[in-house]
Amino acid sequence: MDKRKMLLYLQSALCILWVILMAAAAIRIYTTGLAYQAQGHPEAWIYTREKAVEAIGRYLPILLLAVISNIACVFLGVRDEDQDKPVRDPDLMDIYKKERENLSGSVNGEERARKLKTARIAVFAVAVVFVIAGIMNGSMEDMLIKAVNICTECIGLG
Amino acid sequence: MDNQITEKKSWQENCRPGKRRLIQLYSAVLYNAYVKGFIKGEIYTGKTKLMCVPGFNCYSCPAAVGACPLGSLQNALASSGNRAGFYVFGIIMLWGLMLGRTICGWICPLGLIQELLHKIPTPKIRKNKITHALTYLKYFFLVVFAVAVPLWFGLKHGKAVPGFCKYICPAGTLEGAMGLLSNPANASFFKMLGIFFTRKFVIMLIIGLACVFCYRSFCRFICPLGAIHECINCAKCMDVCKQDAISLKAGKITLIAPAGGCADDKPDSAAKRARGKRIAWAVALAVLAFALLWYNVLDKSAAEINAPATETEEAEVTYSYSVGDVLPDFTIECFDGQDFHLQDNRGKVTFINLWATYCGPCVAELPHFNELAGEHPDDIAILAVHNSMSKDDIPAYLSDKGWDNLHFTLDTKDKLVWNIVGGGSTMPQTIVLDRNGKVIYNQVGSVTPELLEKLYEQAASGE
Repeated sequence: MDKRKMLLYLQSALCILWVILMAAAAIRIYTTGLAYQAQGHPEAWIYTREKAVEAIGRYLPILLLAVISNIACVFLGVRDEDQDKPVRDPDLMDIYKKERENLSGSVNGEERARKLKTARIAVFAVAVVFVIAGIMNGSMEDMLIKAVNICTECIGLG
Repeated sequence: MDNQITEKKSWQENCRPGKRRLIQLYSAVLYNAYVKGFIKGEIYTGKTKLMCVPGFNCYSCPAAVGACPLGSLQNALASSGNRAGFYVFGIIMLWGLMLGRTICGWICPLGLIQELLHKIPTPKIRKNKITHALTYLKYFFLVVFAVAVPLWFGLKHGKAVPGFCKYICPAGTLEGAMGLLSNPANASFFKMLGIFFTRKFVIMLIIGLACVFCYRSFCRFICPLGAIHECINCAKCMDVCKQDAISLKAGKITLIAPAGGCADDKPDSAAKRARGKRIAWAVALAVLAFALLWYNVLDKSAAEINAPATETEEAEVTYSYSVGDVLPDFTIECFDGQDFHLQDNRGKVTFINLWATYCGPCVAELPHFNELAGEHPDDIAILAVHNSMSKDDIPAYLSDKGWDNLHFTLDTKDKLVWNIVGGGSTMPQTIVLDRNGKVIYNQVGSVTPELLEKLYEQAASGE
C-alpha cells in the first residue's frame, strides 16, 4: 500500500482508538462509581478529579502519538486529496438533477424574487415587533436570568 | 475546476488561514471575551448576555459574554406557560434575516471547531446519497429536542427542560461542562457528574470523531440552528461546496447545510478593495481589543453578583459557609408571611436549598426535600430560597405543588441568603446544618432521597 495512505490510515486508527478508550473510561468510571454508591454510600462521588486525571493520563500517549502523526502528515503534505474535488457521485447527481427539474418547473425567477422580498420585509417587521414585545413583557430579562445562571443538568453536569 | 482545486499545495499554504478562518476565529474570541472566567472558574454575569450571539456558543462557557440562541430559544419555549419568549424569537429572526447561513459558515464558533477537527489528515467521507439523506435529521432534532421537549415539560410539568442542551449539545459539554470542570476552583462540581455527564461526554466524542472524517457533521446532520437559518440564495457555493449543502426545492434554491469553504475558493477580488479591508480589520481588531479590556478589567458586574461571604472569627467559632464552620445568622420573610430566623432553628437539623423555577433539576429535587421534612416534622427545618433574579410569580407557581413542609422564600435584591451560604451562578445548591448551626454539607448539584436521608442522619447524630 502507498506509504502516504498508510499514514492517513494510522492517523484514523489513532483518532478512533483514543475516542473509544476515552468513552470506555468514562463509562467505566460511571459504572464502578454507581456500583459503589449502591453499596450504601449515596454520598460517594462517581467522578472525581483524580479519576478523570488518571483516565486522561492513561491514554495520553495515544493522543500524543496522534498529534505527532498529525504534525508529520502536515509537514509531509499527506492528506486525502480527493476531499477537495467536486463530487460526481451519480446517485447524488440524480437527486440534484431532480431538484433542479422541480425548480425549473416552478414559478419564474422574477416572481420568486418578488415574493421573497415581500416575505423578508414581513419577517423583518414581525421580528422587530417581537423584540419590542419581548422587552415589554419581560422575556428579555428572562433570557438574561437564564444566561447568567448555570443550569447544571443542561450542560451535562448533572 | 478539478485541476484548480486538486493542485498540490505546500504545507505552509495548506495551513495558512484564509479570510473566512480569520473571521471565524475573530468571532469565537469576541463571543468569548471574558477570558478571566477560565481563570476564576465562573461564568460572566453581565448585561451583554441580554443579546443572543449569532452562532452556536454555550452561555455556560466561562468565557461567554453573550447568550446562546438555541439555549435561549428552548428556555423561552419552556417558559411559554408564564410568558411568550417574543424577545428570543425576534432576535433569532433578525439574525437569520440579516445573515442567514452566513452565520454558520463564517461566525459560528462550533463550526470553527468542527472545521479544525476536519483538518486532521485522515481519509474523508465525501458527500453522497446517504449523507444527503442524513441532512434532514437536523429537522428532527429541531422539532423534537429543541421545540417539543421544552414545550412539553414547560407546559405540562412546569419544568424547564431544554431538551437539546440536556441530551445532545456537544457545545454545552465542551464549552460549559469541560470549561468549568477544568478549573480546580470547581473541583466540587465533580460531585454532580453521573449519567448525564457520561452520556453527553460520549456523544461529544462521537460527534467530534465524526467531524474528523465527515466535514461539519454536526452542522449538517444535527444542528437545529442550521435548520432555522435560511440561505441568502447566492448559490455560488454549488460547484465548490464540500457538503451536501444544496437543495433545489419548492421553487427556490435552498442550502440545507451551512455554507462552508465556498467563499474562500472564489476568485479573489481583494486587490480592488484592499484599503477598505485594511480599515475594516483595524476597526474589528480595535473592537476586539476593547471587548477583551472591558470584560476582563473594566466591567465589575460579575464581581458584584458573586460576592463571597465574609468570614469573621469570634472566640473559637468561625462563621462562614464552609464545612465545619457555623453559618452566620440571618432572618428572611417567607411567602407565608412568617419570618425564618436561622437562630430559632438551632436544635433542629436545617437544610437550605437554593433553587429557581426555571432550573429543571432544582424543581425535580424539591419533592425529596418535602418528603424528608414530612418524615421528621419536629426535627427538620428546610428553607428553599429562590434566586433573587426572577420575573415569575413564585407563590402562584408553588400553589398547586403541595410542598407544604418547606419554607419558601425569595432571596433579597442584595442576595442576603445567597451571599451568606456562598451561592454562585450554579444551581441547585444544598447546605445542611447540624443542631448547632455548623455546616456539614455545602454542595452544588442535585441530591437524591438516599443522600438526603444520610445527610439528615449525619447532621442529627452530630458526627
